[in-house]
Amino acid sequence: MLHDISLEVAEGEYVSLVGPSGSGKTTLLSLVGGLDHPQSGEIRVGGHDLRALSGDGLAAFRRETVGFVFQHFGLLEALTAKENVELALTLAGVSNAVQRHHRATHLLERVGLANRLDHRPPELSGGERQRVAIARAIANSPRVILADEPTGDLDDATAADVGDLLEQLRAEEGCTLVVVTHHRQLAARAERSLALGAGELVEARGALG
Amino acid sequence: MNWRDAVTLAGREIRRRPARAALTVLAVALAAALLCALLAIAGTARTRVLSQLSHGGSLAGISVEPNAPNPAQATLDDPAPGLPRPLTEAAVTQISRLQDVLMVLPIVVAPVELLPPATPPAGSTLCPPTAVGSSTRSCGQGQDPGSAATVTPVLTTSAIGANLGQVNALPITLLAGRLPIAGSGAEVAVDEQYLASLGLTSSHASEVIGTRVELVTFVPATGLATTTRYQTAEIVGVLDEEMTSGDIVAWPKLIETLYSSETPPGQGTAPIDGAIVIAKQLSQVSPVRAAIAAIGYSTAAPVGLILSVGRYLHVVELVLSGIGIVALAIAALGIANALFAAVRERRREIGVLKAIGARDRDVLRVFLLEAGMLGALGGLFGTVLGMGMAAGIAANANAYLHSQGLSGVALSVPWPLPLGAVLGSCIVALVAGALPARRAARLPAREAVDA
Repeated sequence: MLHDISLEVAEGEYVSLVGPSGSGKTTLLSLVGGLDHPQSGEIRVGGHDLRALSGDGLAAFRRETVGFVFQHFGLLEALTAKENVELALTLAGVSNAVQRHHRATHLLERVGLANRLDHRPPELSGGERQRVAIARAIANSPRVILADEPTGDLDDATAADVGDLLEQLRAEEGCTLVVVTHHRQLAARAERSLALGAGELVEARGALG
Repeated sequence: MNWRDAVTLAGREIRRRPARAALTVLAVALAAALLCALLAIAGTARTRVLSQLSHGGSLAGISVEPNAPNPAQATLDDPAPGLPRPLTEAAVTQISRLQDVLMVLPIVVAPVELLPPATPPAGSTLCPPTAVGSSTRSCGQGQDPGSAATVTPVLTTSAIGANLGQVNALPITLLAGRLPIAGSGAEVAVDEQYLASLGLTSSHASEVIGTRVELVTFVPATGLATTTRYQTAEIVGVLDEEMTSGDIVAWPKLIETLYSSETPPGQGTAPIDGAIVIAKQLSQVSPVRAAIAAIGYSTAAPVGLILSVGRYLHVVELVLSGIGIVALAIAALGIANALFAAVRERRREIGVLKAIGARDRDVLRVFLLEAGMLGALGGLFGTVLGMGMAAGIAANANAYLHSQGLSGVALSVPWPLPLGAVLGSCIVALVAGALPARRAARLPAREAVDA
C-alpha cells in the first residue's frame, strides 16, 4: 500500500527505486506503468492521465508509451527470441511481417543476440533472456522503460552487463528509465535514487519532487 | 493482434504441452468418431431397411396393376385390386403426364418354362438322372447323389421384361452378378427360386453366374395347336428380391423374341402387365395414387409402412445421436479442464501479454483459438476414425449377410456428416473454451509482476 507519494520524473531521466521487500517499489512501478489503478491520487505519464484510462485505452498506453523489463524476464516460452520481440510489434499494429522481422532482428543485434534469434527462452542463459526482454521493451520506442528488478536473477557480471545495456539504450533512445532494484551498484548508476519504506518515500539521493 | 499472429501463438502454446494437447485431442477424436460411426451406421441401416421395404426400388415407387381400383381399400398400402382392366399404352401415357410423376416404367410378364443346365452347378444337392453313381465333381458335392437329391427338370415360371436401365426405380436388389446389358435379348437375371430349383442356397448364388438356361414358351398357333419356342440365355445376375412376380428378369427384347407373334409390349394398344410409377417425392405418393385411381387403375405402394418405419428409425437415430453427443460433452469437459489448467499455469504469461499491450480480446482470441484448434484436430481425426469404424462394422455386417445368402449393405455416408462432425467438434470446443478464455482475458495486467 502506497500513500503520500509525490514524485516527478523528468523526460529522459534515469531513476532508481530501492527499498526492502514489501515497501511498495513494484506497486509504484505497476501504477506508473498502467498495470494497476490507484485508489486515489493522480498519475500522469507522458501527458496521459492514467486514472482516466481503462481497458483498451490503458492497453494502448502500455503498448505505446512504456516498455517493461521484469525480473522473471516475462518471455513467452513458446516463441523464439525474435518472435518474442515481434509480438510487441504485432500488438502495436505492425502488420507487415517483413518489417517486423527486420525491426526485431535489428533490436536483437543491438543487444548482442544476433546469433540467438531463433532460440527459445529455455535455450538461452539468464543474461540472454534479459537482453531479449530489453529488446522487446524498446521495440515500440517507448517514452519510459520500467524495469522491475532487472538483475535480480543474474550474477554480478551479467547484472553489470545488463545495467550497461539499459543505460546505453536509454541514452540512444532518449527515453526515461525507472529501475526498481536491490542491486546497490545498479541503483548507484541512476541519476536519482529514491528509497521506499512502508509505502512512503523515505530517502532520496538527487532531486526529489 | 491479428488473426494470423493469434493462430501462430495459439498453435505454439498447444505444442508446448504436447502430452496434454494429445490427450485432449484424443478425447474429442473418440467422441467425434463415436458420433460419426453411430450416425453412419444408423443412416446405412435406415437406407437398408427402407430399401428392403421398397424391395430395393424407389421409396416413392407405386405399382400399378391391370385392375380397376377398389374404392373401399383406396388408402391401404396393398389393397385388394378390383376387376381386371387392361393397362394400355394410352393409360400409361396419361399416368406419365400426371403432376408429381417422375417416371413410368411399363412391365410385361410372360409365362416360360426353364430347363435346368445339363450339369448342376457346384454346391447343388441335385443331380441329373444320368449323373447318379457318377464321379463328376458337380454331382452332389461329396454327398451320396442318390440319397437326398430331388430332380426338377423343368421350372414353370414367368419372365418379366422391363427397362432395366432404370434400375434405381425398379424394386430389384442384386444378390450376385449384374443386370442384363441394355437391350440384350440373350441375358437374364434369375431369383432365389431358380437357385432353389437347382438345389442351391443363396450363399451359392455366384455359382450360376455365367451358366446358360433354356427358356421354353408355348405360343398359341391355329386352333388348339401351339408352337414351342426355345431361347437360350446366359444368367448374368441373381436377384435378392422378387420383382412383383416371376423368376427371371430381362429386357423386353427377350420377351418379344419368345412371343414374336404377339404385339410387343408398349406398342400399339397391346395390354401391359403392370407399371412402376415413381413419384417425385415420398410425400407425393398418396396424391399420385389418388390420381391413378381416378384414371381407373388399382395401385399399391408401401408408403404407409415406409413412413411408419421411418419414424421409428428416426427415433433410433436420435438416441444414437444422444449417445454421441454425451461423448462429445465429456470431451468438451476435457477441453475446458485443459484450458482452465492452462490459464492457471499461464497467469504470469497472460499478465506479460497485457503488460506489453495486449487487449482483453487479444487474450480471449488466443485461448479460443487454442480451444478451436484442439476441437478441429480432434474432429478431423475423429471423423476419419469414425468413418473407418463404420466401414469396418459394415464389412463385418456384409460378411455375415453374405454368409446368410443376403445382399450386403453399402455404407451410406451423406456428405454433411463428416463436415458436420468436424464443425460440430470445433463449435463444442469453442463453447467449452469460452469460460476459461474469458477468465484469461479478465486477468489483470498486474499478474505480470504479481506471479
